[in-house]
Amino acid sequence: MLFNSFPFFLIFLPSTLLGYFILARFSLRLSNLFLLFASVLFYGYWDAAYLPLLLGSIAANFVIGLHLSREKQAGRDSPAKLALCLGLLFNLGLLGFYKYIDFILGSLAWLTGTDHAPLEIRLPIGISFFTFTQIAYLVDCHAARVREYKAENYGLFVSYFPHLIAGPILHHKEMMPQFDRPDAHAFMPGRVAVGMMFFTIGLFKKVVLADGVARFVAPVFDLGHAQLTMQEAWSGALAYTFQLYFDFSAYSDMAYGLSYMFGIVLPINFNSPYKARSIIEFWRRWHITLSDFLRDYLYIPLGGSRRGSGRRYFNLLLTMLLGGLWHGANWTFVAWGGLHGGYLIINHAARHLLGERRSRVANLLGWPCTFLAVVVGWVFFRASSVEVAIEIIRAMFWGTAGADVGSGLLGSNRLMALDECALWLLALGSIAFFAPNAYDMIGRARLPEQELRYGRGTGGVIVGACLVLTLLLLAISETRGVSEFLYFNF
Amino acid sequence: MRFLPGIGLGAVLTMALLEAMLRLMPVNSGVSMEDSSPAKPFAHYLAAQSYMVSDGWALENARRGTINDQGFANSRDYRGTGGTLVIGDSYIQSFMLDYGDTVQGRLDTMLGGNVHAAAASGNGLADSLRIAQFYLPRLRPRTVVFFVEPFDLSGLLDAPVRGHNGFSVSEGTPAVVHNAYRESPLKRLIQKSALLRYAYYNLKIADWLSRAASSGPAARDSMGAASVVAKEQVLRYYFSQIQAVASTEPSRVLFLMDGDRRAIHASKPPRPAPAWNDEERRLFLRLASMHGFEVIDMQPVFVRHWVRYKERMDFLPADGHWNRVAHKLAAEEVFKRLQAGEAARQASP
Repeated sequence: MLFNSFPFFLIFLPSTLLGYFILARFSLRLSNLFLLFASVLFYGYWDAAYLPLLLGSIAANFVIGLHLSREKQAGRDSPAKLALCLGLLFNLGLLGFYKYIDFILGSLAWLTGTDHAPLEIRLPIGISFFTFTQIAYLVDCHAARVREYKAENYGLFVSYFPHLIAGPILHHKEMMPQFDRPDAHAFMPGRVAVGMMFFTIGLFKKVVLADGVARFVAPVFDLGHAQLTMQEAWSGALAYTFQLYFDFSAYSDMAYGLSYMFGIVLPINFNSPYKARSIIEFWRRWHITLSDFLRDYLYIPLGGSRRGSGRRYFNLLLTMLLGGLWHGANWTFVAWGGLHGGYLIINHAARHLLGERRSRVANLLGWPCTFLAVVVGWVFFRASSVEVAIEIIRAMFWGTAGADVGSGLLGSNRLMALDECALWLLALGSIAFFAPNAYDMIGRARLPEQELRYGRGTGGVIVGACLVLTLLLLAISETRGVSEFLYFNF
Repeated sequence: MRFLPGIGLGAVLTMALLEAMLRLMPVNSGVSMEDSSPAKPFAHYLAAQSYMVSDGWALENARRGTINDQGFANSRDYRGTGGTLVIGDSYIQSFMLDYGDTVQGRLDTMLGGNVHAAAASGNGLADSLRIAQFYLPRLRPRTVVFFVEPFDLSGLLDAPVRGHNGFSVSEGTPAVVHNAYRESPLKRLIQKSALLRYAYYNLKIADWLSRAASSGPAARDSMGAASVVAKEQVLRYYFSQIQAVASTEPSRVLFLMDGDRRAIHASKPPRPAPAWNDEERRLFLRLASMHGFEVIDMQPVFVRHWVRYKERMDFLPADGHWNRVAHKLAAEEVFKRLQAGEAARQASP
């Protein structure tokens, strides 16, 4: 079920809200169980075939985590370590089988010059997200950082529907305590108003901005990549740059708003990343929970920056390569991760040389250089192969179109309406670079003052306006053909 | 004010704001159709009405125009005889193009005028036959161009939708049946509000609702054995009827066949599903030739143009209709064929 569809908004959401708040009057535990059931239904509606996989993964990790914590509390380190290793093996095994097996076998076949018939295993939706969430949980059990072991809360923490499909990657310490807070289960009209504002802003970003600019992407990346003018190549690359930005930003806002209606605050996952003045800052703003995960559960365990500059740069590169691979089983993602690893090394090295002081030149050049580097990276991220990505990048800097291309009746608009695309890019760029984001406009974390203020007539007016806008945006989305969020593929 | 009444107020205010905004934007005005009748049994609009058309949610390709005196878009008023008549569907109606960029508009310039078009969205071969039977005796054109696209053949045996014609075959005898059109009062109501027009004409919400209500996409005709026989019977009937009506004037008949543009534009696998059913296409070409009709196949023309200029010939993926490039190429092909015919006629003793 997609957030940007009528069945979700008109049936699933109201009935889940209703059940959650009504049951909370009798028992918080019952209310949580209901939300867990609704979340499982949400996943099952999408892909019932993989429901046993999700439930099995949750059950196995919960049991391993419980056992691991008990061993740890009893001071038995070796069995605890063994349980952790088994847990990691189980999770990475599942992910490896469903996501990477064809990639690995295909790459081996290419290296050895043999044939490989793809197994064509369908990727279970959300597997990367729920696997990483649970790996973090097991590692924290081993580090004795887990304090709560209620089975239904654990199930809800993993499967909670606003984050299940495309993140944010949740951390148990941020989520589990919220499930047992009585005030989170109390219906508050102001809370619905705040949630609806986030949801509507996100839906607008998805339906109008991301899906609107999407039509300028495929003609370049899928159709004409072999012969492109510079203008076409840049238009396609920038169109994708903004499509991905608004698509992910939209999902993050909508997930945040939906969760807010249930009284549960999700971590902020997306914070105007194209305003970043360095790649280091970019990664503190883009997919923040993945960056945190990679830092806490990969980069730091690898040694982080504790073993000298050389090792630090190696760790950075390895972390970003694996981060790239997390997005998909394709060499394009490895290339993208490697590119960002390289960017981070350059950025850290420059900081090391220049110190933390920010010169005027660095301030001035930081933003365009960062943005340019990110755009080039996204070409690898979107292209169907590394060869296609290189063709497009070559076209961006030198142009690859033949002599007659562009001299037909449509001129420079021969592949797509470039003049129209330019207007879209200008508008989207202005929003991404200069406009405040949803959190700047509405607020971050729990907002008791706004909840109180919007609990009366003003909040009603806001909800009424949001309902009409949401229905219109959903009508646009549905009649045009509902498009998935791009991050659903990862 | 309390929360619940606030919701109502917020909804009303927002709808009013949207209505005001959309009134300033090029929302599709909707074009009123005239009720069909036994005397004029084919889809056509109310004559001489002005319209605004735009495509989709983003109001793309916005254009103003006026319906001609016969109820057709992108055609001059019908004056004089002995000219060229282009008959077709939405491809020829071309709401998304200016008149000068359409096949008929370009032919009008190339031939020095006296070119008319009779086309409406959703027309099939049965409609083109009815239009020919209606206008050929009245206009007595020297040339009639019939536009043919894949759906004309794949949907050849489909029951006609409102305002249109279809073929029925009873005991091996084909006939044309008409499904009468009456303009709904609801449409007049919709035309009063920009928000409703946006939902109805731009978003096509009624079509979406009927699609959602049906069990799934309509099964494509698989060209089974019974279907092949019935389609051949219908096509033989169609061509013989065209032959009959064209020979009385007499008019030269050209069939203008669309190419598979989606396949041409796809530079590498996966190839899209072919637009034409090969068997149907071959059948059409064979029977057309058997009845002595000329066919202009746009496929090789489109391929040559794509190879040289890498220039799209439609509005895909948003809209599969011909853009001005395809119209220009088609007009040039028709013109070449007319010139060649004229030269041959003059050369003959």
